[in-house]
Amino acid sequence: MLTTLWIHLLLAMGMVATPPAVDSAEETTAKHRFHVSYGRMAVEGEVAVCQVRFFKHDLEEAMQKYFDEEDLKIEVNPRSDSLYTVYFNTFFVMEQEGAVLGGTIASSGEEGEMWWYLMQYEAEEPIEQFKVTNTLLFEMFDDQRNVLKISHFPSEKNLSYYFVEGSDSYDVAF
Amino acid sequence: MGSEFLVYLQLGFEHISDINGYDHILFIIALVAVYRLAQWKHLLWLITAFTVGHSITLALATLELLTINSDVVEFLIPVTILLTSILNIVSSPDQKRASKRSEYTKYAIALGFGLIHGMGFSNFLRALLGAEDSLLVPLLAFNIGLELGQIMILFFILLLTYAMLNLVRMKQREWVLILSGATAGISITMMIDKLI
Repeated sequence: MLTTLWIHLLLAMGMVATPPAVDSAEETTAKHRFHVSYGRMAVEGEVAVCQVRFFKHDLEEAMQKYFDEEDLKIEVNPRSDSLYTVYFNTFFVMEQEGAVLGGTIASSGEEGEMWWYLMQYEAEEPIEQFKVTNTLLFEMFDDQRNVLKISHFPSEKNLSYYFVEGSDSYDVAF
Repeated sequence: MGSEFLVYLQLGFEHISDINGYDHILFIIALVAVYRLAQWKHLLWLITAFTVGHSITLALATLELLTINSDVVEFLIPVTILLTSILNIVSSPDQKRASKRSEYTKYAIALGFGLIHGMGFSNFLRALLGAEDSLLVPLLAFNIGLELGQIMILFFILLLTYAMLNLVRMKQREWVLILSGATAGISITMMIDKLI
């Protein structure tokens, strides 16, 4: 009897102690409460291409907040591409000898719950060393983590970086 | 940084210990709630069984040899927490009397439930990486990171259990009921959340 009472009491306690449920707008993020983006960059000569994969809902939410547009949707159209380019180049910065390289969209697409963009960079000199800062979505989620894998050609050297708040910038040299 | 292995090790560690994704943390709490530090050998087997389980499905699903609907997996994870909590509540209060057979049953349950949690981990990793050329290093490092995270959570639970039993002088049965009642209650609300 006492045990049954305990169980009922504690079950109720557990329910009360449950962390706040995600609201409907956050429903799709429930599967990935841990926020991460994954980028792959290939560098050869004066050209670099970088594909970054986001959970679509996360990116949409971040861009809605950044541009203060509640209805903003990520789509394949010139307006959406233009907004993304602004957002991306603000929070993902490649610097070669102090000069910022601007990324332009080469292609984009949807894959399940993910959305990816392929950005292209062109430098005046061969890209052998640069500084990369990646704070994508940091302004949106406290636990945002960004992974970036960089491959250099023709050396086929691979380097991987983990960007977190407070450690969001790396000097890359091949 | 620069090492791919270290990146995924950190990602795995932070993924399991992230408080926003508390479902895996809850399961570990429920799994080890009935144990004390002195029973470390049982705990070692139990955690190893869970690790073997989630490693199998994490590898199979990330390599796309196994596909299971993520909604089903997300519902099954709180079910594993609830069942483990119920088992704690209805099992013999005297752990010393627990038979070898019941210990083996717990290891089998940890292994089986590990399979389900592994599918949850793999859904995350596979979505993130997409068609990555080589999954071997990310998979291995992510799994070791999960393991280190598990050990850290385990350490904190055992420390808390030690404090409650030895400093607060709470009876072990009461402590088991508190932990298991809380994890059961939370898992029920998680299940309801997934259904509606």
